[in-house]
Amino acid sequence: MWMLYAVLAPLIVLQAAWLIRKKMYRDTAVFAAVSLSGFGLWASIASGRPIILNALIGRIIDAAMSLLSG
Amino acid sequence: MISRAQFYLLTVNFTLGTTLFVTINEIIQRGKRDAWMMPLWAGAYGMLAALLWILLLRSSPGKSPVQIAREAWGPAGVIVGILYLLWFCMIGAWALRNVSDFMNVTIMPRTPPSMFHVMFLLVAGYTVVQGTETIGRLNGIVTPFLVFPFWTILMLATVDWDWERLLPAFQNPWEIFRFTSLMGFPFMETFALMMLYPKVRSGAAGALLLGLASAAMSISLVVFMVTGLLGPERAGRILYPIYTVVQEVELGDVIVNIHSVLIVILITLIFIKLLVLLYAAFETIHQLFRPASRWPHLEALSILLSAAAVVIYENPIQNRVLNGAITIAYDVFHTILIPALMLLSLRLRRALQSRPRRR
Amino acid sequence: MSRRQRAAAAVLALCAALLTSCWDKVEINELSLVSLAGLDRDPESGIYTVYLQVINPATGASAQGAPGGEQSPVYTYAASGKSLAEAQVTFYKLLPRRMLLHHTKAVLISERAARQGMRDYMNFSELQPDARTSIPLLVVDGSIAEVMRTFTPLERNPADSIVSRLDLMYDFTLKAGRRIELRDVIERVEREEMVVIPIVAATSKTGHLNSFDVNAEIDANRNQLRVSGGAVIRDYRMVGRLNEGDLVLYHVLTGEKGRFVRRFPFRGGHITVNMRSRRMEQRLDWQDGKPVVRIRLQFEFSTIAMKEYFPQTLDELKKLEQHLNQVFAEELKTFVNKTRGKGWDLLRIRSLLHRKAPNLPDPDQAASEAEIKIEVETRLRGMGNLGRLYDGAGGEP
Repeated sequence: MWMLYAVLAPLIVLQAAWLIRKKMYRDTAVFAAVSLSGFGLWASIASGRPIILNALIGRIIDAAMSLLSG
Repeated sequence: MISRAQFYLLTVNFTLGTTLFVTINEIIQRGKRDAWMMPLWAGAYGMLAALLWILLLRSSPGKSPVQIAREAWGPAGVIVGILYLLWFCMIGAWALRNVSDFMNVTIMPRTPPSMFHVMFLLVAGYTVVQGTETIGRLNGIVTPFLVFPFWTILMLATVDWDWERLLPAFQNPWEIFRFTSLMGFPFMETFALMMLYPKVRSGAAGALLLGLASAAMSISLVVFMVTGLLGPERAGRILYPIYTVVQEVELGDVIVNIHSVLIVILITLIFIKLLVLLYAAFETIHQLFRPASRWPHLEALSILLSAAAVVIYENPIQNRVLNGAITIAYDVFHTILIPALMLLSLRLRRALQSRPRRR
Repeated sequence: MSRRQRAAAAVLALCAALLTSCWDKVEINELSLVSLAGLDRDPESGIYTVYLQVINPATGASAQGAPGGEQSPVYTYAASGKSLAEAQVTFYKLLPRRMLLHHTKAVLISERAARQGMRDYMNFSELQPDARTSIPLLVVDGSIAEVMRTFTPLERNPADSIVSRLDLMYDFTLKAGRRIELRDVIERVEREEMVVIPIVAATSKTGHLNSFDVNAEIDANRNQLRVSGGAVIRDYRMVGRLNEGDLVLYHVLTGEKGRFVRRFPFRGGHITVNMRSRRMEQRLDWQDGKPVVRIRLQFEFSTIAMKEYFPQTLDELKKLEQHLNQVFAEELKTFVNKTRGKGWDLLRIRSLLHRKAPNLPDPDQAASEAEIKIEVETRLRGMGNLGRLYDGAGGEP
């Protein structure tokens, strides 16, 4: 777990800090959104409870299909 | 701006990308001796879908699908844009995972998959930052190095050809319609190239259609050759039949064990696919939110894609089982449903707007 | 340096981590190159024994006069396990270097394992990404443990010795075929056809000889391996054998192209003919609703071996050709009837029916009922060095 934080956290935090310093606030927001979702996904992997994406997509599609037909 | 020849080559390489080693096994397993016809049908279907996309992009020239979503639906277009961003990311993650699975099974079993993912993303990210022209030119330069060795090796393998493996033929030419999931992949994923479409100088529509046709014929020819060289019984069971075909090539006693050439070709082909997908995702972010910087977003996308590549599926068996169920719905939603709705609403909006003027 | 150059340098440097394949690199002197693999299974205990013959890298042209005596060109390791994979990893109890199966030249399987069934070996073989199935498979007549520990003179690597013999036998005697590889067995059996693979056996031994003794011994018929005969495989099991004479007929009937020598009865005696198979055509006709398979074979023969008789006129030549046509066709027919009597569809009639008439209700029945007609056509093409034989007394009785 700690290796994840050690590697990813500086990447994200330093980059965000650089963006803020250059006063690119919109960039920071977009960057934060994408990289934090990536970070969240990595955290789920590292904690041993990965979110399997194709199963997730399958569930969404099933829900949508049942919504349409039901 | 890229030329139409570059766009054509991008279409072909993108479509061939992962198909050459992910689906050949399944196509032959389902279609047996007539499996070579399945990519042709799928290609025809892909070309029909491409006509829809061309219509959509022609209705707002110079705009990519994400920008058209903004135009057609205003603020709700942002949501569509985000959906497309996620879609590009998912397909990119799938491609990355396919590559690492292939490498792990065949030639590099101990390398951690994430190394492959990160390396690909680094190089792809660097290329995307350089801009559209770089992508077009890079692909143009690399293509001869892919085409000639690949077909030369397959030609070398034909010493083992046996027509008996393909007879009796034409037992079931309509087989593909029973396996609709094979229609979607890979032709519907070519929608990602629509993000590049506005950057083509002229003749993009022809290049796209021709590229899809060429890719379909290439895949069909490869399936035909694999079936003729391995036989449908083996090719339907072996996970990566192209790799086995090349492994068994033996010209005299000197030219043996040349399969590493094929691996380099396949890696490069997948890289092109990843490049286009990363570009599409990057452009989507740019067109939706118009940030000023470039590298940070590629870094963010790399983090996301490298994570997604690890969890996109649990294992190849689960992937195959779920693929049949979800690919077609997932792809149709993004490549047929949404573009069709966008086209409709654009037409409606324009029709409504033009009516008051006539009065 | 501009930012772009710095970025490029950073990317390239990072990619170098993949170039050296840090995790997957193996130095060549850490590898054990397997040249011959052997498989056996004890039917009672179900234990698999795998033999691996590993090339000794110390042998070679430079090591010939090395002090300390001769080194063995190959080392044989044996390991057992309840399953093939278990047996394979058990090797590291004895093998000090990493196994590389990719350069294996041939696979031997004991007769008792072949008779039990080879399907599991085939599956195991195809599962390994680095083991090729495009290598010959041979059945061992006798003890596989002995065969795997036998040296061969002249060609010091036994695997090379076996494989080059198979090539020579195909070219000059048609006593080995082309489709004798693991993948051919898989393909044929999956198509429900039969296949014949060669048999290897150890020749008589004069004691426990090592490589030096074998290479110094003048009698090369002893203390080595012999490849002769064919093992008939159906459904991944060995069901019988073909002797050498029948093996030639089998290869001729299945369309293999090669030269062979055959002795035919002729005018109360015999005539030896050096023949070369040219074409084999299988045609399917229908007569009264029953399939008739017509096999047309074309041969060329040469006078190079005919020491008993030499045609002097065109008429005599024609008569000789006709005689050969008839006699050879009879021999082939006898062979076909004999094997069909055992229930062996060696000519793959069933597959022919499946290809040409896929909608037959019962192909097995039709295949066993099908009538087979064999037509032979021989033609004189080649010559030896004599235009006329020496005559006079003193020939063999």
